[in-house]
Amino acid sequence: MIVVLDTSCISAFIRAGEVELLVRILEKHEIVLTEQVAHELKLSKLNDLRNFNHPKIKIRDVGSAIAEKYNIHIGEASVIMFAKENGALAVIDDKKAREAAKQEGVEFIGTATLLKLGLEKGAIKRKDADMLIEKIIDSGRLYMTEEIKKWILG
Amino acid sequence: MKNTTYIHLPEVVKEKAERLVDAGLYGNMSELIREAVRQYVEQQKMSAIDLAVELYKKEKVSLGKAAAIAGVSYDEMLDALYLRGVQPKFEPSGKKQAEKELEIAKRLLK
Repeated sequence: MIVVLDTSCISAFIRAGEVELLVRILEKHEIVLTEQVAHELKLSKLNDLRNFNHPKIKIRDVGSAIAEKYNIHIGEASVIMFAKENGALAVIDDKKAREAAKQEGVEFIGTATLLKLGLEKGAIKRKDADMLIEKIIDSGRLYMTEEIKKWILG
Repeated sequence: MKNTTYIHLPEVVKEKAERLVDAGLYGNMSELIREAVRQYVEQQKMSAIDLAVELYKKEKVSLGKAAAIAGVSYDEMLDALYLRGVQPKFEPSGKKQAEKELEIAKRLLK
């Protein structure tokens, strides 16, 4: 399966210094960033985001023509279009972008779901889970409700 | 690009505006209205970043689009929301929704 990540997801793992964990969670799958999302990272003032590259995360070119239609950014639009054109699973956290993905018939999950999957698959060890997930949420600026934090760790 | 907007003015405002045109301060009514709108927009003190935050809060735009409107990077936009006490609208936000997504993840990411 190809998994295409929106900016919130990849930047959370980069900021938390946990990209290897992301790769482990999705170890059997192809991880993709669109050119537009990669460009968004390059605009950052943080070196880790600006200079990001990883041999197992591919950058792929795709259009973003639906951005205007849904009042979303070309980065978010490109993730949706890539998923639609390639039958990929999208990882999107932004509410408005998810509404657009739904309209376009794209299957998506949030980063929270990815973390839960990581815990269930054993990519995140139980004993490290509290600290690790807290770090990704806090350092990664991945805002989550208390209900979701409890759900991930539950 | 030609961009035409039709507006209805109250009679009293229209008469006053026409006097300014008749007096030669503006070439025509369109010129007067363009100038009035330009001055009004410039007077608005709202910065691009505040505007983007407001649009995001009202769910008119996504976070990425808000960053583009503000002319800042994605993570700077997150900082701007944080400084203003605005919680990003990230999902899943509830357990029920999250459980459904986990089913999708398990089905597709075997």
